[in-house]
Amino acid sequence: MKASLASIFLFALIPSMVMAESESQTLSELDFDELMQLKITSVSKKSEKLSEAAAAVYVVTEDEIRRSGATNIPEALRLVPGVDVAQIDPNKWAVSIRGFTGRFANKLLVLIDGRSVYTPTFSGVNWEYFDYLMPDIARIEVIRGPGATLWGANAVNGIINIITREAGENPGGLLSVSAGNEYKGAAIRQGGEVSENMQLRVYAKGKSLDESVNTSGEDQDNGGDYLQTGFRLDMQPNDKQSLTFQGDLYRDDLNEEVYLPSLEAPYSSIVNGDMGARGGNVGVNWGMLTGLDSEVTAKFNYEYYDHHETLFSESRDTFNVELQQQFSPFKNHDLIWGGGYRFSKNNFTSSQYVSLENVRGDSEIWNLFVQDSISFPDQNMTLTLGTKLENNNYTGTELQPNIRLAWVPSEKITWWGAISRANRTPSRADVESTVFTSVIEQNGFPIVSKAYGNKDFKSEQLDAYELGTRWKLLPQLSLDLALYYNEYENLRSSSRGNPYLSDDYTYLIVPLYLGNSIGGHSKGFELLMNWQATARSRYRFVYNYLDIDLSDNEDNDTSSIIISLIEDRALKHQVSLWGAFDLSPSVELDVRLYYNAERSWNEEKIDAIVDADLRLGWQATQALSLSLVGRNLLHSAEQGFITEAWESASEIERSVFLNATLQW
Amino acid sequence: MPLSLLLMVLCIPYSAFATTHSISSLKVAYLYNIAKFTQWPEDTWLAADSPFYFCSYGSDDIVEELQTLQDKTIAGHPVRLLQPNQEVDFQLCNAFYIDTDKRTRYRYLLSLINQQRVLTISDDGPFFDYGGLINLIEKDQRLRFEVNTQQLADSQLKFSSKLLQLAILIDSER
Repeated sequence: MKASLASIFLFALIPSMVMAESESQTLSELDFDELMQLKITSVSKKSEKLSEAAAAVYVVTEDEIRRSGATNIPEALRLVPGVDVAQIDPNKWAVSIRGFTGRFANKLLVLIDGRSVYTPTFSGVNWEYFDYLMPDIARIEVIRGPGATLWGANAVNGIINIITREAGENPGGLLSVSAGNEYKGAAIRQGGEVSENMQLRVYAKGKSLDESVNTSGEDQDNGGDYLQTGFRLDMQPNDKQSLTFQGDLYRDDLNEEVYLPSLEAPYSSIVNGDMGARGGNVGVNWGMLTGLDSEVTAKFNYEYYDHHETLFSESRDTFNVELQQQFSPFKNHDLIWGGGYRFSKNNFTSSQYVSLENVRGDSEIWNLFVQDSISFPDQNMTLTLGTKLENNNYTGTELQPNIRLAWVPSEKITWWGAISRANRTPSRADVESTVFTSVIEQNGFPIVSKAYGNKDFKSEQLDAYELGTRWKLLPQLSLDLALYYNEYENLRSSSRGNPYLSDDYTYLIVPLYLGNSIGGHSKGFELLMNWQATARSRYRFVYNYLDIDLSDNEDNDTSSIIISLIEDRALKHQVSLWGAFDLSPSVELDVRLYYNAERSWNEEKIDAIVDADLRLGWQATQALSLSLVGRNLLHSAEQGFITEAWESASEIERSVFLNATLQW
Repeated sequence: MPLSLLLMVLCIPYSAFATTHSISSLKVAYLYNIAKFTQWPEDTWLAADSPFYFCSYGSDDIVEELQTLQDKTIAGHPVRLLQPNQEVDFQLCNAFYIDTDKRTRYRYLLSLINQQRVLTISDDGPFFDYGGLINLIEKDQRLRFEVNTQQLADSQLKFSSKLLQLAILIDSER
């Protein structure tokens, strides 16, 4: 399978290469009339420059978001180098970078306009609650590897930074309607100038997702209805200051199918339940230029949500304040320093399946960081040194340093390397949970496994070694390669305690105690190639390789299950090819083919798969655009992920929808 | 089989398109031509061989590509490229290109120059709101440029009639 797939991708790259030499000299000789006749490509609207950053960075542009046909953020992240995006059921997603994928993927930090949406209950991100209007997203910056020094707690394996457009960038209105077999949605946005130095954007959107099917092909009861509204107000009080106010409100009513252990035969059942949330956030960002290359920024935000699902419910209020300054104290030094404080208050309602020892749990994090980028213009090198001092109420004060070097010998090539440390702070679940995990039966007597949190749970730690290059081989062909070796310590483990009888003597309990005894390493690479084959066709090829090798220092009979969850559920190989074609000035075609290697865990297995997405877009008039989007086209339904708990397996069905967007 | 169909689509030959122009080199050619058809006030230069300072701010492709103008002349003066890193150096600029990514700095940067005597250019940004003079845009698969007529009337620069014919005139008066 692997060999034939490789040949398929090679074959697709064969069409004749037409290369133009650098022609700026000759172009400047042309007069205006001639210049005006030259046709320009619209496949990539913005000219591209190789990043000189000493990190594995990929930026999903506005163009890419549109051309991917993405209706939500996880879909926009699919096919991005190093990112594993798996759909659990119509509403739930598992997204991660460089392994450790799960619904509660705890080593990925996700920010929306600088606001962390990482939740400290289970760790991880509730992707279903960020249903932004996709055309209002300016870009998504994806950083693979640790970024704890600048970005903060839990930026262990990567950072996803979602940046919305300034209100002044898209004045005017938009009305978008979509309808298809799995997805129906409508959105409206109006932007405009309030006064000379003030721009406002207001939006509202709603969508409805259809159910998926189970592994036997029967309909499940797990659709969902979503509503979200929000605003962004940008102000420029004077030449040097900028002020942004923004906020969102959402309400989601979803269904889920849950697999529950039970004390009576057959000891498990599938239950339909409600899931949903009410939530919102409001924030203010202030920035002031204090000189040509110096800036002070401050931000404050407040966020709340009220979340319920079948097995528990919780509410959370989070306050966050940050201050940072960037300036150049000496020639060739670019210094950035700052600090932040975050307070989060949580109320948790337990069930017999999932419980936390205390109803209320507060988490508090403060941090101070400093980073200096020193450039050596004669050597074309930039050295970055930084560290973050971070304190959380579980594990105290921790240091997360990094050192990075970028070498740009010519404008065509960048080499970079980095060594960094990052920590994943304990979640409430790690510390104080009791989770009823499974029931087996022996001679008609139920044996229950219960996992217990650990008051002394430590931060999981990563030391990462990275090396990469970005290379413009030809004006139309660029390559980006990143290699990494990650050393993990104190990863979450479990061990079995002595069994004991339940209070009413009707079942036996086998306790599993959480610990931090798993460690090991992962290694891998991400290769990205971009080829502007002609003015109207562009190909993007991505290959991710990942190999995780962990062991338990306190090896016991649960170790292999926990390790397999990380090692075997991760995708060892991911390959994708994205062809973007402009069939005419107003017609765009995007074909996205991808291959995912197999995932397995605990007797469950998802076979390797080749699948395809397609989008055909037509700018019918200046105001009206139509698009037809198809997803998972090569299979009628396919399981996307194996979850470690609760969710019953779902197969995501082939989906097609039509979108009409009117802009004024 | 659908897979083979997809592969056929992926391999649609596009041999009809012979050359692709690097967009940044085209944009720089525009900047050069716009400057060629612009007239600065008589007292702009002290001597006949004083340099024409073509300033830029930012780090995009165009800023890099501007280097190709190094040996040319504009308004009869030899082009000198400048990326000022001191506020006072902005006083030297005769033409000034600002990287689109630096939009939050437009107003601040424009406050550092004498706007009446400097040809200010940006690329596809909300530049006019801040008092910029020329903005490059893409239209119907061609590169075009907009001129802020209000700003032009306020400035001491003069555009040739040819330049104004080719421009898309925008009245930013609000």
